[in-house]
Amino acid sequence: MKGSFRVTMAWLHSMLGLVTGWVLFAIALSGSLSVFRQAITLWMHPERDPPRVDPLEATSRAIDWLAHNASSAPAWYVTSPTAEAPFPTAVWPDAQGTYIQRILDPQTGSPDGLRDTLGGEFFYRFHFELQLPYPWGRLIAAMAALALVVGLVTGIIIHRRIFADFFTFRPKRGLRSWLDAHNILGVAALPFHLMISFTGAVTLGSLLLPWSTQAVYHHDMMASYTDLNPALYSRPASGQPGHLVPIRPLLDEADRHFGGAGIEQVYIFNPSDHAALVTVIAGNDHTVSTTTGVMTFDGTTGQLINAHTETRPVIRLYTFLYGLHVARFAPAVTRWLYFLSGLALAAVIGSGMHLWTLKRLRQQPHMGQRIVCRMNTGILAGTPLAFATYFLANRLLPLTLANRAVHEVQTVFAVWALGITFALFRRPDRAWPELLGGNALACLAIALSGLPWTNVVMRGTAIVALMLGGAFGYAAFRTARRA
Amino acid sequence: MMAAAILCGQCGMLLLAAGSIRGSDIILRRSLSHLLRRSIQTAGMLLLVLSLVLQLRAAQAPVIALITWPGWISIEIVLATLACTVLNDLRGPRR
Repeated sequence: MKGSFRVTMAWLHSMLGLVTGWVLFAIALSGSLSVFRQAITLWMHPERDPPRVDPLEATSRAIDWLAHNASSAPAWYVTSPTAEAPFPTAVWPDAQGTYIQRILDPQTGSPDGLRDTLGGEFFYRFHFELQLPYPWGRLIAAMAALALVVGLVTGIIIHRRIFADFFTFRPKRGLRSWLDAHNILGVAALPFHLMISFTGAVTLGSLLLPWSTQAVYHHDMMASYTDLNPALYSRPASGQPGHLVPIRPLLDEADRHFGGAGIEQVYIFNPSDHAALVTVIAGNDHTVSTTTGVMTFDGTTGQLINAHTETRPVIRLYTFLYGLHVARFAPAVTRWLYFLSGLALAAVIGSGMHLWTLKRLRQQPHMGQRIVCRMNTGILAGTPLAFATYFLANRLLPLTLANRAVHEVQTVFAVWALGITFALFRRPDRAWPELLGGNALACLAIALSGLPWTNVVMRGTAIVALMLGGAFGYAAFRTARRA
Repeated sequence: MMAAAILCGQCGMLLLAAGSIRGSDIILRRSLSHLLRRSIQTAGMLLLVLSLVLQLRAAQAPVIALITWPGWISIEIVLATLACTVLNDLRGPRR
């Protein structure tokens, strides 16, 4: 009975890995990078070091710029500068309803002179939306997160010698070495892996379990949002033109109200209409939980309409779990540990996928197994190559190119598709070293493109890129020798 | 304080490795009695707890120290494992 239970768990572990491994690998890798999304955004704007400006002043200037340049948009979403990201970010829909996102100069509030790029936001969005339309990307990511929780639990069950082999890594022993690496990386960062997969599933929980919301609110989703955050609401435009009151006094009042938590975001709905609303969302300095305070003002009179500080235990638990996942609270050391643990998770998933193919290739593999083997090569070596290309596209695409940010993202998917196609039509023993070598060169190019490494972000990125490049180069050398 | 906490954690993890059957063979080059292995492992656990206490004392926000500590433990496990691997390679397997 015990044996059959373990066999069943082993089957489930393998099947989950086989079905969700590719997408989980991309999610884990992009998630690790999005820990440093602000730093990546800074790296992708090498034009100038953003000057340190008072966050409220920079936010106020950003809103002034939007008032002159995006007055017809139905809403503006402005993120205030922080210590990690010393620039405001604005998002607004254009006439076609397509959302535009721009980094703004903290001194002028204008995007002029700054290249058009999504920066680290691409990795953050890709991590849970997979560049797919709502709700499909989020749904796939949510199911993958659940599969990861189950995969981790079944992995513990089937790891028969978990304590005996705790500090064991036996190199140069083929399949055994891969299994040791899979086990040690999985066990070492297990608390992080369990936490990040569980909180990831909770974050997207309303997609996995939508029925409770539907049962209570039927199809009135706005009512559910209002209940979740009573001060965060919108109202339709009146059709009568209106003028926004000066924003700075509202920001000062909200800042005082939030008591030192700072301001994270400002939403302005119907900015040119008589029914304008200004919603100010508190920051979360030194607290794990995300947003706990929201204030909404009438945009044309400046009168406070509603203020809400979250105290409900269930919602505070949710914001704690969400905060734990997105790590906005994290100081530098914690951020690095999140990054390393995320890379370890990607390595666990990748080594598991590689183990699956190694085991099958020892026997007489059928066509399906050979295709999976080649796809694994394309995904495991092609995904980091595609992500690395995003950094290089940021430097290589002309600054005046229209829709530059879109082209940067397209480069990622073009290289990814090329990598997978290459792996499908090339013998794996050749494709591995060639793609790994490509990764090494791309990482080296990223390090060099940050020259002259004038600030800590450029230096940090160069060091990480060189270390990853060295690791990829070593792996390419080892696999080429075996080919 | 943080450096002391990390050092305590790494020493604790090496003691845990030395207290395991395979680890004692590699690190101490001899098989230990059950009691001795348990004693070494207990000392290792105590050092890990001490590293947590030191990190909590050094941190401005204890909850963030509690989140960060398992991250350090992960690195310490990997380093202890690599130390065992290197030692085993240098000395050659005992049996």
